[in-house]
Amino acid sequence: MRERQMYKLIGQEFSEQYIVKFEFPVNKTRRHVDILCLNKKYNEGLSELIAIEVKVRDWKRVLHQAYSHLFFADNVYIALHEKYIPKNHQKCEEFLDAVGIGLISFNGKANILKEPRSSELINSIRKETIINKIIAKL
Amino acid sequence: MANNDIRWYIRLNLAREKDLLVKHSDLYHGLLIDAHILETYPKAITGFLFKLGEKPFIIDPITYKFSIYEFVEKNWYSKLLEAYLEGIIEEKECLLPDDFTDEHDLEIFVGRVLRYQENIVEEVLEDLGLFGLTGKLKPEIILAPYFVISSPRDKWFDMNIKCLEIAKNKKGDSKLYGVITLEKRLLFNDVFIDSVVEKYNIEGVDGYFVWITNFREEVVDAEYLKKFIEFCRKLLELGKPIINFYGGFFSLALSSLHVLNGFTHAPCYAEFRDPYSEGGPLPVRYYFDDFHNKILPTDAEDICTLAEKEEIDIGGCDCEVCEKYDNIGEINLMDATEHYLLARANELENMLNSDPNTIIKSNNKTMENMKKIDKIGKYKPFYQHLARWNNALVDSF
Repeated sequence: MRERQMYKLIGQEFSEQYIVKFEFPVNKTRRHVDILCLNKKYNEGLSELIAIEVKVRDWKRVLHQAYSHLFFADNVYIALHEKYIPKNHQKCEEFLDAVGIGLISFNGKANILKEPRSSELINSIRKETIINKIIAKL
Repeated sequence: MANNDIRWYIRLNLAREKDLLVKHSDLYHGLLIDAHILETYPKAITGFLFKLGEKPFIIDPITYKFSIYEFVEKNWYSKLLEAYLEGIIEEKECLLPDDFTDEHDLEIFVGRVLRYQENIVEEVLEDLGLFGLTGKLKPEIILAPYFVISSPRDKWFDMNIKCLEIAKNKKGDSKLYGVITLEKRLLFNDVFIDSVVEKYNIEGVDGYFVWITNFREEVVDAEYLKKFIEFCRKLLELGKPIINFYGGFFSLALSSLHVLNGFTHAPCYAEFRDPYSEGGPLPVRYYFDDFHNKILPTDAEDICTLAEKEEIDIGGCDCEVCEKYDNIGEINLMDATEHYLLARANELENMLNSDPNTIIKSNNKTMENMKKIDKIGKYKPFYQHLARWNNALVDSF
């Protein structure tokens, strides 16, 4: 299964509460975010941003990519195909715990295995710019 | 202020760099200008030199490019070919050492390359009607023709030596340097390196530029760095200045440790050069002082955020450029270039009376600090070269 096929189905898990965007560019030099979700109640002060980085396999690589999103997203997940989540995933868990990133497994359906911690690294100006970009494209 | 003990030359390649180099002309020793850049922008470059007044400059005759096929379609190619080789060699796509069979023709070629460097700037200025500095705008140093040596049996090796021998008899009052250009794997051939040092030891030559091709100081492993130090030390025994033709912070460090007498790079790029590459547009990269390396501006900002959160002393430049930005991730190309120049000047000043232990300690501190904030090793590719540099310095000093 290719990554892009996973986006829509993972996005569906968040679509009730969030505006969901795929491959969203966050600035000139940074690569895009695979799945970016903005709380639908952003107008009421609930401007929660969720960023999800998706890979079929290679948890280390997707973790490095997702890490950059901690600087503007309140909550960050990595999503991997169920088959490629390490069986003895203690090391993976340690890294995820260290940085507060959540884990989603996917096999036809998304399954949140680990919830993230709220990011303490947010650059509020960057976050606001991205939110405005999402709103502008609605 | 320029540190007169270490000769920091800046290569001027792009018209947009001129204003910055005028603004900060007190920071660096001199300029190095490729002949093909001069041919492409003659008025802009010579006007710029006129404006700078008596700042030392050198013209790189880039003769090596005529032995490489990739450049034959360029506009400047035929102009320089005419200046150096008209009537000697028919226009062809790629020079070979065997093309110079006639000693007399070789003498003419060498003479033309030297005279080109000495006279081209003033000739263009006269055409522009700018006479105020005639007689004063001469290059600080002239370079003998040079070609890339890619193997011990490469015929360009002998040709380079012949050119240098001829040049020393034609240099007049000018200071003459040889350019020793080797592919980096040759550093490990000790017998060959000894023969290079022996053959380039020519009386009448005033100094040498060294160019190890594709030598990325922050990428090559420690063994290459050690071999480079060894090579430079052997050359220093010739008793003449040795300057790295393309180098960055590691070359600055070696200069402060008296293994080199100076180094050269362009503003924020060209710290290494692949002779076979044409170059291309420059992405914006931010020079991160603690790493002595350029990284994406957004990564620089993220690292500073992490450091601030953990109260670790990493990042956070307070130069006049960075102070303008709340968010260094947004820095533009020209500001990133200016920041680089200021950062390099700061490094140069800090390197006065430096010793290997100080440099090693500083690198160790950076790596320790990064371990504390880089929990998943995401940023390791940006600073892991510091360990290799320390390895080379520990073993070499």
